[in-house]
Amino acid sequence: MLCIEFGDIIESNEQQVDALTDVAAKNPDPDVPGACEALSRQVRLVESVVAGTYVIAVQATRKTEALEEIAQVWQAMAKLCDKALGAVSSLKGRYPYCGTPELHDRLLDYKLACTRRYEQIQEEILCQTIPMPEGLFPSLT
Amino acid sequence: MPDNSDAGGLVSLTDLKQLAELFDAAENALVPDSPEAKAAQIAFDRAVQQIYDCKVAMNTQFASVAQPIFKAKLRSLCRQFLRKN
Repeated sequence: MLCIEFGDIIESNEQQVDALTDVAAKNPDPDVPGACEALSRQVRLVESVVAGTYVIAVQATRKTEALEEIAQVWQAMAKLCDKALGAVSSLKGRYPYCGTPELHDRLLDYKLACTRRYEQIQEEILCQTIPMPEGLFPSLT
Repeated sequence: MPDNSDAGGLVSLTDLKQLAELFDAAENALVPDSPEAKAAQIAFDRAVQQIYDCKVAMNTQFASVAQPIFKAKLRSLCRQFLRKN
């Protein structure tokens, strides 16, 4: 069975985010015919990539036992969102009618979700070191 | 056969099963800000608070467990429960 690390998926998908900047560089004037279409296409692709990677992150973390590994997944996912946010933030003023403001809002939603999950996992990791009184929780063993 | 479906601690297995379902719908939603995920998150938070207020805080043996610690431990237990079921 072929296995792939989550970090490899992130790395691969970061290239699509980089491509957003490249497409904008090749189409500096949004009023030139075809420029906004080209940028809109890449905007949709970035949104699909982030949404798809998020789904993989959910499925991976649902099966993972080690909380530290779950934290790493959400940290990496938040980093991908940050990278995409950085790219689209610099473009949404110049290309306001090419889907960039909408992508920015969606990316913020995803970033917020990843950050919240990362912070909650950190609480759970900390909680592992705190002894719990017997009889409070059911045993799952 | 004895019915041990509610065996467990002060927080019962039945409590945990219900919380795990809500946790799954919120935490593992494929679209994080979907209305369903948001509703599940609100229901999970409310259920945890209710269990804490009605069972834990009222019990002198467990009242020293702070609510954020209680909630974090419950989230970990929900993860374990979902992996096993």
